[in-house]
Amino acid sequence: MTRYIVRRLLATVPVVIGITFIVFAMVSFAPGDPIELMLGSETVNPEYAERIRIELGLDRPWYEQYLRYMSGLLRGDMGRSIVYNRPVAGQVKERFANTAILAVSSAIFALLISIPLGVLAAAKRRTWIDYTATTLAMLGVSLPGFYLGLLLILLFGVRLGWLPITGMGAAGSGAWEYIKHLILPSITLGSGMAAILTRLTRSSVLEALSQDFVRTARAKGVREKTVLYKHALRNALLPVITTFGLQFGSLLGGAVITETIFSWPGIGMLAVNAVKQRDIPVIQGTTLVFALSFVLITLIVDIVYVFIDPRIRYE
Amino acid sequence: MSKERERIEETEGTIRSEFAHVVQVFFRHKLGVLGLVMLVAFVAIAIFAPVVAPCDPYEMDLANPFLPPGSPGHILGTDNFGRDMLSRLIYGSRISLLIGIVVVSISSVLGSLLGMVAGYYGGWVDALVMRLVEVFYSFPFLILVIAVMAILGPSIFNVMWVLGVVSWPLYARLVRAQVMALKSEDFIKAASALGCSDARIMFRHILPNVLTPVIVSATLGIPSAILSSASLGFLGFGVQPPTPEWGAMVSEAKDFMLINSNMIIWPGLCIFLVVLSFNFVGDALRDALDPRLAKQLN
Amino acid sequence: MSKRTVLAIVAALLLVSASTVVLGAGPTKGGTLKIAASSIQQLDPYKTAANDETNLCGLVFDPLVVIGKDSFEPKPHLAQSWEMPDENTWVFHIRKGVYFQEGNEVFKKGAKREVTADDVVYSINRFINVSTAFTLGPIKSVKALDRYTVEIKTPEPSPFLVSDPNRLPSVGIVPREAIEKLGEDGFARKPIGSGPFQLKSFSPDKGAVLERNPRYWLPVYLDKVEFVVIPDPTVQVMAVTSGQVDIITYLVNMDAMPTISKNRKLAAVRGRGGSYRGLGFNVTVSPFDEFAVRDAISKAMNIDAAFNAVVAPHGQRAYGQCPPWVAHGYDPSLKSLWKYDPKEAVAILNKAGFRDTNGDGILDRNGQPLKVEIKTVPGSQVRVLTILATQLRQIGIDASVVQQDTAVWVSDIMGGKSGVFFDFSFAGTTGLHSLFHSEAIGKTNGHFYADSTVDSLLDQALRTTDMKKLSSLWKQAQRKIMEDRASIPLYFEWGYSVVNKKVNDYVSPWGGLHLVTLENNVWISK
Repeated sequence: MTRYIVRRLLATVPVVIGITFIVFAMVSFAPGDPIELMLGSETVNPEYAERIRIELGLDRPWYEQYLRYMSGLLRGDMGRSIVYNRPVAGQVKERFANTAILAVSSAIFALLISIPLGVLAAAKRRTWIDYTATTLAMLGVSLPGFYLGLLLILLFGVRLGWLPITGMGAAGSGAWEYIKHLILPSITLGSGMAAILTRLTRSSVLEALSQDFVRTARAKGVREKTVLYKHALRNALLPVITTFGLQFGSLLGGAVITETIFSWPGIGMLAVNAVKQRDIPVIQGTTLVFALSFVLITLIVDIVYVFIDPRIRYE
Repeated sequence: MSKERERIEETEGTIRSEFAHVVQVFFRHKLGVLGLVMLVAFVAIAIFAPVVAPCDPYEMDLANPFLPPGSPGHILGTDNFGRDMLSRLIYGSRISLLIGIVVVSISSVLGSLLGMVAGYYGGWVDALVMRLVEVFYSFPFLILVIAVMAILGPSIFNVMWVLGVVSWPLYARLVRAQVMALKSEDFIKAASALGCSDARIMFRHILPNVLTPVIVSATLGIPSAILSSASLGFLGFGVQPPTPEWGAMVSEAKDFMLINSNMIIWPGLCIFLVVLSFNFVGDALRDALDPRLAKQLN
Repeated sequence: MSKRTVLAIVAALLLVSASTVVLGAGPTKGGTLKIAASSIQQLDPYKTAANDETNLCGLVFDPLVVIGKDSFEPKPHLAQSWEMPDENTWVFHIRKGVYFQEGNEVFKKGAKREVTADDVVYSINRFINVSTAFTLGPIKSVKALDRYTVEIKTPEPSPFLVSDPNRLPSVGIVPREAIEKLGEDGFARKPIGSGPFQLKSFSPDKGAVLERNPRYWLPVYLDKVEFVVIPDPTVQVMAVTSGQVDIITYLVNMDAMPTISKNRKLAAVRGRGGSYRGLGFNVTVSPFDEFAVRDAISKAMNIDAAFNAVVAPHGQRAYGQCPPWVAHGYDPSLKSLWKYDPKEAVAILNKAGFRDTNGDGILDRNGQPLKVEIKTVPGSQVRVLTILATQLRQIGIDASVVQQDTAVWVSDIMGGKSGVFFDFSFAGTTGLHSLFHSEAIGKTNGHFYADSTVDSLLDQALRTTDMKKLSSLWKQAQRKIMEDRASIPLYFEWGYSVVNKKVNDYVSPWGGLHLVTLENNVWISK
């Protein structure tokens, strides 16, 4: 098992290098002078621009620039925001927890909805429960996140006035207030994942139910409920966990939209604002953090998987 | 040589009889048929937009903003500038469908090529392509797209090729797996022994056999491309107003949510319906073409 | 005690209690005021031009003077009084017994660090050195005459030094120790001043909480003030409608006005002054460097129709840059310079060589289509400009509206990258000089407009204190600029705050938000 984990860790090294390279190269891909992109066109003073160019090492060949960028990253330096003239790392640090909280609570929402619904649909196959569940799942996959978010705001925020529609609430206003602010964004962000996982849970429970050991158990006269929950579900959940890990990544992508709609002060909102403000270092920093978080999550899922499914050791 | 031709003809024959079977299974799928009907309708409306649309989608009638649905001359009412809602939606379908199809064409061609090369040659080529796939997979899709859009600037052309270039890895992974399985099949070994060039083997012998999963994925890829481009439009990084694009229309309508929810409902509903019908068709196709694949793609 | 006296006492008691019921109990202490903000990134009062940051800093810091609530006159605040011994000298007398906020990293509880003339000198010097957004104009010297007296000398008369909201009224007094101890970046996170509210917590893009400064020199009724960051203007309106916040200091989304005026809990408070909104040209960018093109564009747009459809009751059509409330510059006779005549616009363009040669409906010249890309920031003008762009399309100009972030918009205009842009200014006192003087090209003159006649008129105006002469100079300069079509005036917008009616004594911000001054003191009804 240790060997597998070590191998898995080593495999992420080239991926991380690739990610940093793409993020680094984003500025070079850009048409026009990187200095102008970095400083904005306000800087008309050519001497200042030249000084910055040397300071940033933009006069050096690209591989030297990349090494410089990497060594900066290793020291936790992601450059300075053009617009706010602050270290990008600091900005990201302030917001990272907010995005993490939103992502986790959306994932919890998705799991709470999808697993019971999926199991129920499989257990009551071809009944109205099954049809409702599969239809809901289909609708959930097809509904654009921003549209769902706005509809929720319109209904619960504006018409009914039950839930707050923006921000996180003031500091120190209590846990309930905080949770209230989390509800609509989590539903918006988690619904896509809930839909996918419902479909998956349903199909993998169905498959497990058709397997030999289940048939044997049934033949032995084990109660249907025990068959379902003890034998089938345990096996069916393995693919669900893998997909859950992968989907967590796209959840992070969806955070961009959700945070924008609900003014949730996370990295997604930071990224969108940076794009609007053409704040290249912040765009680079947020993109990098998103990608690295995703790598980390898949890594964790893979390692957790080893513990759940021992067969993987022999791979 | 004749043996090779025989083999191809045989394959084509199976494809033909398989096709009949596929059609049969597909049409048993009620939601798939419903989706297909809706799609045909959407495509027809998009193609014949100038004929179907009752008004010029750009023409303003400042005296009549926010007309409710059912108003004379405006079946779905008007927006904040008094522009005809229905006509704007109709013209919007052109953009969404066009983006969806172009994006998937770019990504599936690019992805299949890379996947085929990786699977066929193996070794360092395979390792390189697969690492690249992993790297691309690590970026939350939308983040990478808006980052690139920030640098290139918003335009419909940029939306299409950026989305296309960024979503290739799915196809690469899929095709690679199929190619690796096929490589050990006898007929490929035979073609190779007969001295066929690598390119010929890949395009004449392997490609037809891996098309099925690519078609299914592409059908399911179109709606996600449409969703992504609508999200970009919504964030303001995609197609710019006054061009009628559904995502941008939702974004515009958001400012009037308090006064008039009519404006926000329709464009969102259109995105939803188009995506839904593609998903229905995709699901049905998947079931029809390959039940085994259904699991793989899930 | 006779029956009569008893009755009289009872009657008197009843009367008193009745009157408290009828008149309200007067200001009550307590409560949290919640204010919507679009973005808060840092809180150094000298390093910002952003409305929300300025407003927050207006509560943490005390300036020498504030702009009066009913007039545009400066009123005493930290300065008890001031005088001008001669036309180049100002002497301010500082209020005694004002202390910097306590219970923080710099001043511990009971520190009783008094605000003195030295702090004022330090602050003004720091403002001159680090201010990113505004300038005090030329200053010759600032010195403390004694512990409570400050003297400012200017090299030439500077009539607006005290009355321009962006000059002295925006210099909040800061303590030297705080900046030295916390550093420039640290101070921007944990500002300390002498104002009625002290910062309790702040996180960028989320908001800030301020609480009452218990040692303030005026009574402070509110317990807390909370700034809630809500970037989307529509959501701000929803938040104030649903009671999630009490105040929107500046309403961006004019379309929401009907909804707000229908709501019985809300009041729209008209701002003092307002803003100029126009369509500006960079007169050095082709083809807008040609007078004919600018003139044709001005004639192709039915501005009245667009204005009436979007802004009408909340603004006024503009024909020049100076608004009615800047009396010495306002010139209604400029109206005759403008007319809507699309046929003539086409004729002018044809004469300038623009024709639709390829039949695509767009005029072109030498194979180049006539393209007008209007760069703007969010606001009521987006809708106005969209209507105008549609009108330009009708005569064959490929017009579109591009929405930008404020920072990008400014940077594109000042960097000379925008040929046509939404022209905005808080129509205050220094307007014409900073917008159209050749000295300000690339800094505040995004029109890149350079005209020697206009330059000399504005130079003379800056040096005169005779209002009549100044007025005539301004009007001449303005007429020349408008005749040259450097900017096409669209309208003046009043600007509104939206306030929950439970909030009393609110005064809309003008050079920062002030909730506690000698003229007003905000409190919340129970």
